Amino acid sequence: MVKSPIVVFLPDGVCVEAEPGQTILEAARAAGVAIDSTCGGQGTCGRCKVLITLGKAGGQNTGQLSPEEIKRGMVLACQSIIEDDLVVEVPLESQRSELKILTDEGAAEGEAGRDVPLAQKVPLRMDPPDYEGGGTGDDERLLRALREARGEDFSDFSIDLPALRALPRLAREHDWQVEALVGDWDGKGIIYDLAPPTGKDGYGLAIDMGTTTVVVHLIDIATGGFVEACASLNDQVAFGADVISRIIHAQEHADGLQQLRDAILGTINRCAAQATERAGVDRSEVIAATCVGNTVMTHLLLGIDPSAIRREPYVPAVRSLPNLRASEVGIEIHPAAPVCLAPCVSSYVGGDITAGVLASGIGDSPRLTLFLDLGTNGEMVVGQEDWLMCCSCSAGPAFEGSGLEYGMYATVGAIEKLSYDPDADRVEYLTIGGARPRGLCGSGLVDALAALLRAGVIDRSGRINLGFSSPRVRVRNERPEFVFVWGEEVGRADDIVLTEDDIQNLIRSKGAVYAGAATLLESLGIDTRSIERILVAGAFGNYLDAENAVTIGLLPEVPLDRIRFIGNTAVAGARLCLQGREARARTEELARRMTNFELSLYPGYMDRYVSSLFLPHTDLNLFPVTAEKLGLGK
Amino acid sequence: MPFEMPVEKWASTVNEVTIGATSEEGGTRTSTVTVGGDTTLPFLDFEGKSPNRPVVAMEVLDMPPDEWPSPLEDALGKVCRDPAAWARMCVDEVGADLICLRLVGAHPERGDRSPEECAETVKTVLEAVGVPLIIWGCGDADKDNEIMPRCSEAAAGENCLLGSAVQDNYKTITAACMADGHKLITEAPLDINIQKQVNILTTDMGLDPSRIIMYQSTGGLGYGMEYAYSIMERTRLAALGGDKMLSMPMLAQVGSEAWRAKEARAPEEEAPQWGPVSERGVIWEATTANCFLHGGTHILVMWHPRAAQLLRKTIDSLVSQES
Repeated sequence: MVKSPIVVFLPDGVCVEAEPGQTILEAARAAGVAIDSTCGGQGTCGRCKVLITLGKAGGQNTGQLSPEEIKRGMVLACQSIIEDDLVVEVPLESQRSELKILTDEGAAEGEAGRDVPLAQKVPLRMDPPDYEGGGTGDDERLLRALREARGEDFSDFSIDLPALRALPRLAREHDWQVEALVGDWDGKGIIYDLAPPTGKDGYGLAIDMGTTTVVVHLIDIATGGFVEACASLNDQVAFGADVISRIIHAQEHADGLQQLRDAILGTINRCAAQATERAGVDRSEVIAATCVGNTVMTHLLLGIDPSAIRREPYVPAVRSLPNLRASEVGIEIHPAAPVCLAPCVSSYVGGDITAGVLASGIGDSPRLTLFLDLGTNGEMVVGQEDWLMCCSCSAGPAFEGSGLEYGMYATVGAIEKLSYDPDADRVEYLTIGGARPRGLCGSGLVDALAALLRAGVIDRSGRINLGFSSPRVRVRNERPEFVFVWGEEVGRADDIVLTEDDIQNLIRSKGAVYAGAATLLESLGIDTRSIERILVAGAFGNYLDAENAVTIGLLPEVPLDRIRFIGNTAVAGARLCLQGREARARTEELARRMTNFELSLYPGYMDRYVSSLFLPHTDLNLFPVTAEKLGLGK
Repeated sequence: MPFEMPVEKWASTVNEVTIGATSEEGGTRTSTVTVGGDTTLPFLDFEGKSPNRPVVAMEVLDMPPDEWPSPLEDALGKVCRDPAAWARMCVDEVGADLICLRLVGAHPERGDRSPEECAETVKTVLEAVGVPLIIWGCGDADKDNEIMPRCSEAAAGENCLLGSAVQDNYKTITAACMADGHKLITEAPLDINIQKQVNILTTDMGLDPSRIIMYQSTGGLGYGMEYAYSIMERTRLAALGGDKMLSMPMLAQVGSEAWRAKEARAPEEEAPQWGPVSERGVIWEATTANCFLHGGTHILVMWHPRAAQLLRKTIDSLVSQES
């Protein structure tokens, strides 16, 4: 009997017995090694390039490989037949990166379901007036038609004055067929406008108002489907990087509050305009919006004085609001459209977290979960279906790429994944969209820090070891730095680097997050090991390497399969609220259920923070597996 | 009901560290100093052992301060321009266990002395006394990185205690210390976590933890003393609890900190209600020292001879005869 060939896949070190005639790609799939391929193994997409470092494979090369690659031993995994034992190296660019979970999957977990959307277009056929009707008004017949169409959804109905003004003429011109724009005000259906029958769907905006970044999703309300998205730096950054400095700006300048309101509205409206334009949708077709943001952002959007948030005993002016109208909020969509704001829990845990908890589904699960939303503020929630505790810490915008020389938001051209091989002095990376690298986003920064620590480029306090023998380590403007991408290799005038100051910045951010989570858990008497899962939300990119996040001490050390990155849950929650009344009611319930824990009142927090300013942590007992892997503490 | 002394059982021990090398050990010291080894909190001899007494180091500056309060001027004025004579007086008249030579004259804003001059001063003091030496830089990171390797080299084999490695600047001095067989002071700004981090950073370079003495920063009486005290107490508890990265013996800069207080310095005409200046500063320094002694400090660096003598008396009265 002929022995089956053995294939070893690097860097995972996975070993598999291949079946005769199998391709490398097939063997990899059987072994659970993720190799990218989008053409179904036809040899046309060129994404499954692998390097054969030992042995030889049969099959044909295709035009997808360059002569240099062929010379190096590169083959397409899908076109190479295994004939003998092989050692195959899967380069970083061929490792399949996890796809965006950003909104869709996050939304799916909440299971809140689609029931009554915040607003809907309802095509109605009214009865024409006649003598038998006893002189009923157009309004009564419109409501009767609506009751027949949507009577189960609403307890009561009413018609806004502008709709009444349009009604007689519109109904008669269109043979008693109209489209009613119906908003949901806690069970009461309000017809806020009428339109001729178009048969077109209405759209909604799901808006995440981050301290640093604003994300707007354009959604087809009828189907709940995603249409377009746009993200932008929050214009308020000009008035301060964090919420506290913005509150101070609002207090200290006569028109400060108005400036901040104009800035956030300008950002939202700009994003909305871009998203609708790209989708070819008229803005009047946008018939509802949900806004989620931290408590301060919620105040600033509405022009409500937030100054009490900063003063003892740190209370907000508002936590929960009824639906508002787009025109009164200032969002440039249909002026009478309902705008729903997710309710806040406390001064520093806002509607973005309520929405995130909704989207992540942790309030419905029996599993003990730690949920972290890492933005400029790091918010965390721990709990399960019976209880939820939350707190907030000031993490700073470093993981959003802000404040770092080559940091950037997770968008096209951002390095979202990288590795460094010190022996070959080689950096491999992936950029979002496969574009020319422009900088590093959150997930890339996590990888970068972990790679530098592993290679010994930095010490555990994040200082660069100038004795490290690589031209990538250098001193510029009297500051040590590490070059990740040589500009000349990618056609840039400058190199993409991480400076020692950037590293300190990142360490402060990760330290604040870790210390917050650790303090919250300690206050509840919860051992990290008993956490069944850690869900990480935030604008890191499409991918966050769990092992690297633990290696740098951003997340507590738990078995890696308990850690999941779930993308932007704030906007996912906003979408759920747009689509369903039950979701909107759940956010209210969740906001009331979450118990706020004030970190600043807990004396151990500062102590934990300082001990977290080390890689992975000053106390290696908290990171035994990581310490072992890094060879520390011996 | 008979009283039973409650006894705590501790898991671990404070490291034992020896400073100084005699001729048999490859140096020229006539005596050595061993500190640490404690298995309990300070002075609880019913509970565990503290095999080594706390020791008194006298500070000697390579350049006298611009302005000194009169009691220090009276006590040290005659010797303060000659480090060798100053060190000799501290040993002969005060009975110093160690000399702590601080090279303030190297500071770019003071004398800006060269590495060669500093190394020369070290040699002079080593020749002048037989007790072990603590050699401390000027506090300017860049300058210390120039002078300390030279001073370390000049004292090679003497098993001195070199100061200090801080989080932002620890590599040069740690390397020098390892190369020339010395002990190292790791320093932190009144923060137990940073203290531990500096210890980790230096040991990550290959320095054995048993070659480290910790300096947590000192606050004089009335100026943060209780803060420093509580950090020392926490450190000692961590050591006894088994934290190997906080198990090193501790040092306090008592003299320089105590004498910064205006209550110690102010002349009588400025503050007649505070009593005679000739006594005030000495008592201030001795009281500060007494507090740190109870906090678990192993090496106390003193300025005024009389304060040092008071401290020694306190130590004598606290340490039981057998140990």
